[in-house]
Amino acid sequence: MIKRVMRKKIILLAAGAAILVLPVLVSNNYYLHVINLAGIYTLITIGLNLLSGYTGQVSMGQAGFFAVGTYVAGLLAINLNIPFWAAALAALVITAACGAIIAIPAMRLSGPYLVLATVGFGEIVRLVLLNWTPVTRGAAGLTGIPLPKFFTWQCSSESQFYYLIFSVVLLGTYIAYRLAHSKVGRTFAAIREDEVAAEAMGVRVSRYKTAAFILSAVYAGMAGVLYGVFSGVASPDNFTFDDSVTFLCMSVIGGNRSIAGAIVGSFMLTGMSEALRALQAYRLIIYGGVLIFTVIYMPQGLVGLAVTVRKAIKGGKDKPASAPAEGEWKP
Amino acid sequence: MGTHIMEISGIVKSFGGLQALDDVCLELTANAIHGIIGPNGAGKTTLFNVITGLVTPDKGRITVRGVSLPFGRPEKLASLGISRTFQNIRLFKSLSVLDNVLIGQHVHTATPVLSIILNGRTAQRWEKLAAEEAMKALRFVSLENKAADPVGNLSYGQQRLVEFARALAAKPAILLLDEPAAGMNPTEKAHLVNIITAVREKGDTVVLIEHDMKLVMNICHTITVLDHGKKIAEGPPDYVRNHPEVISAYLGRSGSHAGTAES
Amino acid sequence: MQYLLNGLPIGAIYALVALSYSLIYAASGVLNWSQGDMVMLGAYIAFSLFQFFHVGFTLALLGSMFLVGAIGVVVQFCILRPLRKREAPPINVVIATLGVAIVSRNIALAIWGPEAQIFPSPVSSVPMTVGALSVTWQDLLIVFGAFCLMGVLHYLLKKTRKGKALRAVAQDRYAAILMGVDTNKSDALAFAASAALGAAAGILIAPVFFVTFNMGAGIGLKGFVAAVIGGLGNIPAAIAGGFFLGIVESLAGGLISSGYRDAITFTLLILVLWLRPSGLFLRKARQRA
Repeated sequence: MIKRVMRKKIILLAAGAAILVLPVLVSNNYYLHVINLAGIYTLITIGLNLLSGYTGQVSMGQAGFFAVGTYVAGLLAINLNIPFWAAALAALVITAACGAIIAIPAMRLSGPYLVLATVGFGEIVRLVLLNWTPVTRGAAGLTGIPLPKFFTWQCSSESQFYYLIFSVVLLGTYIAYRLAHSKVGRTFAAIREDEVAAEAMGVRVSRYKTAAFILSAVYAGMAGVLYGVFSGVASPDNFTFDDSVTFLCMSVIGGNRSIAGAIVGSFMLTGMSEALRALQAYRLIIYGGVLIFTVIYMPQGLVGLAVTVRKAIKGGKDKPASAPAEGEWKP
Repeated sequence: MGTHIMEISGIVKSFGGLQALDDVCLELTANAIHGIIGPNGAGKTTLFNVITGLVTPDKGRITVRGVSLPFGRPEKLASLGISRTFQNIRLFKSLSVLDNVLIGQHVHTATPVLSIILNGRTAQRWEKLAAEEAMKALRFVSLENKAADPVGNLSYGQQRLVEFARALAAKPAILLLDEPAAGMNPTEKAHLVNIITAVREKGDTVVLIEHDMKLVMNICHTITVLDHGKKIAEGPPDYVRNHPEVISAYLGRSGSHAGTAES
Repeated sequence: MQYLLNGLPIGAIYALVALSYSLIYAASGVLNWSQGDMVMLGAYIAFSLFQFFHVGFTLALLGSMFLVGAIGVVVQFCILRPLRKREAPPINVVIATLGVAIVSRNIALAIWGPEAQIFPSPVSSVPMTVGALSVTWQDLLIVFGAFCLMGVLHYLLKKTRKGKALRAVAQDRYAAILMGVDTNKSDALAFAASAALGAAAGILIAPVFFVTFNMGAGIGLKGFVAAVIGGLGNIPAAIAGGFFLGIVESLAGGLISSGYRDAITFTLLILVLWLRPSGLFLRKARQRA
């Protein structure tokens, strides 16, 4: 008889072990590179899930926060030779500030107006990066972003980046998971479902919305920092509206009301994007088709689908009102 | 009985050309059930909305136990001991029954974020406390066995009770109920009467807007009657029931309501 | 002053696209992100009609409008209807229309290739000078054509039965259903009309614009911005918003900086959203349930 709690822990342990040894098993550098990229995008998507899935504030401007993260950390490292962790910290602070700033008008907006405001934000960031040439090097972008170095450990190979990126992803996932499954996550969801009712129950909606924006900004900013050192180069072209759209798609297709959904979504879309590369133009046609199909027939994303299926399987059995006592085996 | 827990004076509110509330004054006696009735459009829900901060009045003042109530700040109400339900049920549709009621505990839990992230003992303690209070509220309305169900699966009457439980979970001193019996069948209404009476016996004050006259006359200690935004009568049920202006307000409307007069 | 004049033709195009956004939004509550791509398809289809069937300008215009309008109906039928039936959350509808945009863009890429096409114009592009100002016949055609289309739409909405049904749905969908209006048909009509208008806009602007598979993205976004600045869901406001945006863009680009031009536009947008979200040209805020 396996206890329910024990079973969960075994699964987590197995997953942890798999994540740890993955670079050893995947010897192909190209695959590892794609996995690393997916990991970076996962961070963005987690933040987006918290903002749009949980709190219901749809954002199509995450590329803006992403860009700020890359550029702030990158420029500090290039110009002032600041160590990685310090540059990252500065980037997070600035991205958080951006999140707080965009939250001010966004607070009162909803629906198409909110979407448009976030799009506007993303575009403004991109255009500033493109035109403020003396600081941001304009269209040429950043080159030679130094590789991160922790004491004596220099991070340069794909597998080293893997460990860096996925430590951050694991930390980010854990924090997001804890937040989501707490009073904070519940309050976010209440705001999404009915702001008026939430307020009547004492929720300070504007405070929570601002927090959600800042959270999503920080996650995207951290992803940006990692992206900068990972690819070594960056230009405004990497942070367009199309990219924000892609992140939103990852969020929705994976399932934007869960943290797992963010992971599923970004890996799926990044993987799919790479896999279809051979088909060139047709690749995006298929991509768009998959998008449409998912959104119509799997509205809660892949994770939502899995949950529905699981409920349907369990649905036949009578469920007691209270949770099973410790030690009792639940099929 | 006898002390005033809430004093409403001189509330004036107009929306464009429509005078919704015209110099409305009310005193709520503590630990009593107070009814607000009136024909449709009399301003009852607007009054509720003024009290609970959803609508800011043009003029007037409200005090709770002597403390002035801020207008237009709905999020402050819960900590002042005021809680409400809505005319059209406002539940968090995709959340479970328990989660819905837990939101009622929002202002009573001061969980620090760091503790949440680290899954610390403080956070767990607050969660446990909140869950206990929420289950208490659900037991009060006899829905404790539905706690894990998604609230959308419940019947209309049950959903109304969940909203009731949510308002209770906020541990209010004053409970405002906006048409709590609307859409309920007689059994559910009887159950509701029991719950409201029990709330009052706990020591709380209840104010309810209702159209079900039998219910109102049955359980309210005082009834205020509004018509076209003005208070036209106030007093115990028997007084209001026989008040000529009240009768004419409900029955004596000419024109489009011809043929609805009851003898 | 010249900038003002320069802003008019692009403003007319923005007005047409903004109008389409508002039309669909008012009629069915949907934000159609593929609107810009209807513009692109219109231009390309007309181009092919020219090239392979050697039809005249007017016929190409009408033919393209008809075909793209049909595409609009297909989109409404295959995508919007199931979404509505399943009561999909608005974010999903947004993504669905984005999917349509991606698909149409890349189908266009597959059919017509990545290079920009040169679009022949029925009128000359030689600028005429009047005093210190210069304008081309092409510019005049764009503005004139846009006004003609708006006029036709106005007639259709105000005088025809289907148009009145559409307006009823826009004002109160539920009441319209109770009155017996088939909202599926009105939605389809809204999509068809918007798509056709978009196609016409594409053909009008094609001679002076870069006709590539990607052109829809920029125009679509700007058109949406114009619709919101004017006041979403209201057609005259959208038209005003379109011209306003065109002129502001032209002035900003000319007087301040051409690189930051769009940044200025978007900052303006955010300011409008923050301070007057109902739109600059709407007198009262419209509540969309």
